[in-house]
Amino acid sequence: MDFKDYYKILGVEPDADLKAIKTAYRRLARKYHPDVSEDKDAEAKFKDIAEAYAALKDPEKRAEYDELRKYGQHGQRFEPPPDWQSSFQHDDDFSDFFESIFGSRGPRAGRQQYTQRETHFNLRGQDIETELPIFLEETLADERKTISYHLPHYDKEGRRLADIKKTLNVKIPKGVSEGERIRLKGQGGPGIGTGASGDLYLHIRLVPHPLFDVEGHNLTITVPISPWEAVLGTKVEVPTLSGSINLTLPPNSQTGKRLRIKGKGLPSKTGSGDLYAVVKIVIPERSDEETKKIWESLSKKIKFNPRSEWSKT
Amino acid sequence: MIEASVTVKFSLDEVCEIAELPTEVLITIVEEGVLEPSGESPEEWRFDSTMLSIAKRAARLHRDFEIEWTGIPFYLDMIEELEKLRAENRTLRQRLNRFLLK
Repeated sequence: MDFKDYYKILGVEPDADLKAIKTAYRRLARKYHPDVSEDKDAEAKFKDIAEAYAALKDPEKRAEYDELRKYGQHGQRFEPPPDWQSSFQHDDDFSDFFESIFGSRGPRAGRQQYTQRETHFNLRGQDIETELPIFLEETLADERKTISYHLPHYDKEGRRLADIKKTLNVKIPKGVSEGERIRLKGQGGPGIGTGASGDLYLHIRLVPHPLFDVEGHNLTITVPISPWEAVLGTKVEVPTLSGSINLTLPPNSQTGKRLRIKGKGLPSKTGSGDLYAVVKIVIPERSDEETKKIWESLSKKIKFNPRSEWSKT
Repeated sequence: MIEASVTVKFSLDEVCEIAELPTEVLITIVEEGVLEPSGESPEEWRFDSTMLSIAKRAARLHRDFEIEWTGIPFYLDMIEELEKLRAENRTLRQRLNRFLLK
């Protein structure tokens, strides 16, 4: 177990007053709270920050911590003195370090059911939320997924034990969408005593696709075409999530022109989204002498001002 | 094989119990339009898993930021807006990159 310097975690001086500690906590919480942060380590960072704040905001806990801090240094191995005893119980999921100082996870107000012996209590297990990346193709039909995650685990005195690794085979229903949460009842952390297990929440994240962009249940694919295809019109074989289709491109299709392919988007609860094909004109990377001559004759013969928009202003 | 169901619905009481949220707070969150359960009256309201998840967020915001309950609907709304804009931004950036040369 490593020593945690709570002052360092909050970025405050060891003699900081409560107001400074509170301000530091709130500033860091805004930055790293998993509900608002985009930082990929936000959850772990916020856990440290919340733990540091829990220890330092309470004058009695802080006094105990300051006493112990004389023996430890941040990041170094640490064991509390053998005769160390704390009178606290807390209701949050904090580190072993925190628990070694302030005691183990205690009964939560409003949730606990004491048995006759006071040290034994029953507590509902923790709810776990985990992100589940889904490929667009996987939303087309019910999809079997194997997911693995870690569950925090406590003994009946509330001491934290090693995490349990759990693997589940889950059927993800057709038509799930970005940001959706799926609750799996009873698949979260095990309860303490006779407490029920917590739940597992799967937070659906659609993996970015190399070809298709997602907007709600509609998809967009960019269709590169040559200048002559753009002018003369053409038939293009366009990939969709379920096989390719032939799309007729009318003559004089500009870059940005959008064609709707009905029902080839993502499935939803009420039907299916559409696929939009967006034209993008591309030119050959290089031109040989002969090609250049063709372009030159075009430029001489065709009257066209591509910047006519500019002269209007 | 566990069937992950998105159609399971929760009542007002169930959401409050699971999310550890006072009933009147959840009612305000619905009345202010942050969550839109099906059903007319509070007794008939049915919430889906995603709404339940947002209700849990309400409890977290109250605990971790020490936000008064009356302010919670506003913050939930702002976070939802933030997530929407971030997602939109990601999509637009991805779209834009298809037209810009690397």
